[in-house]
Amino acid sequence: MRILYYYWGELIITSVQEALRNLNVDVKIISPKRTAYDFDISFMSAVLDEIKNDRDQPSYDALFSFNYYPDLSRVAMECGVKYISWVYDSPHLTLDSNTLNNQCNTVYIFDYALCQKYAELGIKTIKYMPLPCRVVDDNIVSYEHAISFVGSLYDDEQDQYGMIGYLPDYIDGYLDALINAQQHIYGADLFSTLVGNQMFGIISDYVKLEMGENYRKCEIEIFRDMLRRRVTMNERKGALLTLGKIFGADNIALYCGKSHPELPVKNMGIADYATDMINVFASSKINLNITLRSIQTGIPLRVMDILGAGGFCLTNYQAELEEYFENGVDLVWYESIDDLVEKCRFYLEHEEERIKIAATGHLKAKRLFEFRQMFERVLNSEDWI
Amino acid sequence: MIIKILFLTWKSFGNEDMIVAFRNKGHEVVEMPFDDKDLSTDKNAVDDFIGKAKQSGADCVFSFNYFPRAALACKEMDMPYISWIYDSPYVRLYNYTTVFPTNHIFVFDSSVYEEFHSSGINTVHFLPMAANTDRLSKMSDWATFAKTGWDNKHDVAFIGSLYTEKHQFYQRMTNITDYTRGYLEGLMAAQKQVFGYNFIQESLVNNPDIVKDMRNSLPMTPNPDGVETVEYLFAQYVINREITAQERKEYLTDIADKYGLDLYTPDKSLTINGCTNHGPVDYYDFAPYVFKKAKINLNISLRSIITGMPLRAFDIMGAGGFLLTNYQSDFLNFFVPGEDFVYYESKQDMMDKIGYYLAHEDERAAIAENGFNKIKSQHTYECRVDEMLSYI
Repeated sequence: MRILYYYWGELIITSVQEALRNLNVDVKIISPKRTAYDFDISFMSAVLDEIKNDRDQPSYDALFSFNYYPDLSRVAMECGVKYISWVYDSPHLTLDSNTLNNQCNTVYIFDYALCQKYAELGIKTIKYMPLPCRVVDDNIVSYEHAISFVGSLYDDEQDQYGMIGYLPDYIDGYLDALINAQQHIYGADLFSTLVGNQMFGIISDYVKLEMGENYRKCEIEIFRDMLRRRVTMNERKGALLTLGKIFGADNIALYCGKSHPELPVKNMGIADYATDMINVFASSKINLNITLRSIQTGIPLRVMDILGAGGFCLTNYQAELEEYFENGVDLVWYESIDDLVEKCRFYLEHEEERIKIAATGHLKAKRLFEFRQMFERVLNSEDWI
Repeated sequence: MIIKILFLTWKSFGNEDMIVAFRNKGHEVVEMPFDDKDLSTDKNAVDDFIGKAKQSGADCVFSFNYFPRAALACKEMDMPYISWIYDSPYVRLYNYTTVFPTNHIFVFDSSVYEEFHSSGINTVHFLPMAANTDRLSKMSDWATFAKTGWDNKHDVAFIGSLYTEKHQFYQRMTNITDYTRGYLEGLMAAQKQVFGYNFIQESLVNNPDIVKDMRNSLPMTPNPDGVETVEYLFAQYVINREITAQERKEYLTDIADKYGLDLYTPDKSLTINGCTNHGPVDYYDFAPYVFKKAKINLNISLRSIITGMPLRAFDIMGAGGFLLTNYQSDFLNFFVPGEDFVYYESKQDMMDKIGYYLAHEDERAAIAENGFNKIKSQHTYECRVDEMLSYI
């Protein structure tokens, strides 16, 4: 099997290279210049040339990329090869490209709810597969933090909903209510049912979202994701505020691109994905995960990273956690902010239990989701189940 | 031990059944007429009560629902006051007299019990509702029932208010801002998606501006002798009530359209396509016939009842009727779903289950019978008598 792998700077490349050393797959990695996410003619030509001018035998069986590139699907169709895409961003706008249903595609998505959505739209090229786990064994470091959170707070210029200049008061109130209500609820998404076409019709008078003719009509979902992002901002800030007040700023470490002096936390700056993050997870007694609400059922990468590094993970409830993990055995999930506080208190006090859970979770994640075995399955276009 | 109970009679449900139960258990009951509309708690009123109580020679006082005047009198006499609350919401639970050590207050919603218990108040206990299966199973005058206007014409029945009559607090808020209206409608739409957890009161607590705006339109003030909050009043008496009104109307409209519906409701003028509105039914004498005859009896709980099993559910099962109810978590502690009763988790689920159970008569009959037997063995008034008196 010969794969032409498009590398665009994804940090997971180190795991890829490590895996390739042990896999019986012939992979060539290329990085042609790309200036647009879609319809980049010179990019497509470069990839096309690579395939057409390739003198080695056998010829390429498939194109591969992390995340989904409509241009690669077009090239694959043109050349009669497969295109395997492993998506780990969510939301991922290019998935709404009209190319998604191209029969050369096999697109892996880790959020089961999202897979269902595309299935209902008649898309036949999606396969469900949880995200892989980057495993680092024997990661022994001394504790530096009681509670850590690594991630963006989606505020200021990242708060897309907040960037909207004006909405009629009624709609403003209605959406605020949904955002606040959503924060009380885990395991169900209110926006899919309660922000409907009629309301969005009015909203589009004030909010212009256009993906153009190469995309299916998905503006309403883009808007819903803006609201979900706002919910996550509130939840992440709210949790850090509450925990900082209760446990003291010295006990909460925030690893984030931006500094947040307004929050009662230690601002640690950004954690580099290659090495720092692994150390953070291992050197924190409790690692928090608060999932971006666009991920409705799936297990986000952060959880896998924490477990892979041997860290103790305390996360919001996500339905798919129950498929693979046991609460209080492999990791711990909470069901409300009060529950989060109580669990932080409990696991800070009960070190033995905490260490045991971290170790068990690490082994379970390694057994089920270790990068190499999953990467191999993806390259072979296998089903998860 | 035989106890003499001073039973306060007012226009409550269950008086006869409760008195019979006390007597069946060997206790003495003295009835004392009581004006539930008279809320006076001044010294004269309390002394008057004390006078009558002492004259009766009773060992304790019992009333359905809770009356501060009785609580004050019992405290002075150092006499137990047993209060069994069947209404929800019930604002007088927040009266300052609730904490009197002579009180033994029973509520049927476990979340209300939790609320008081976790606040350190130990005079409030949890006690589910009950049914007099003896009396209900003897009701067989079908000939008379057939002549009333209440005889079932369809397969599915619903007895209850749609809150279109008096006390439409929500409709009275005409001066709220567009933002507030949008907010309240969003909040209600969100809550309608969720069963088993109610976030209305909490949401109002977190949004004082919304509450302020509502108060401008609808002045609601806590009682000066109570600790209920303004958020509680708006959440329970206005918003949750409006949600219930909308939900019942929505659900019943769909059911009537697809399956037909017998509706028994105070507002006789309400018309729904496919529905026969019989107006209000005589609850004591004839509702049990409705429950028994209907193939499916609906319970769509008032949203202020957070976890509790409404009285309606006991009336239905106690009469031998098949119960299809919205999810309320207390049910799962006492009854087995799919065996004693059935619950739904969404409107679609409800519609699907109505279709299923209309088509599966044997299963339906078995479930109704199991439900009845369970009430008969564990949820009669006699069972409750034992539990209540164990506290004093």
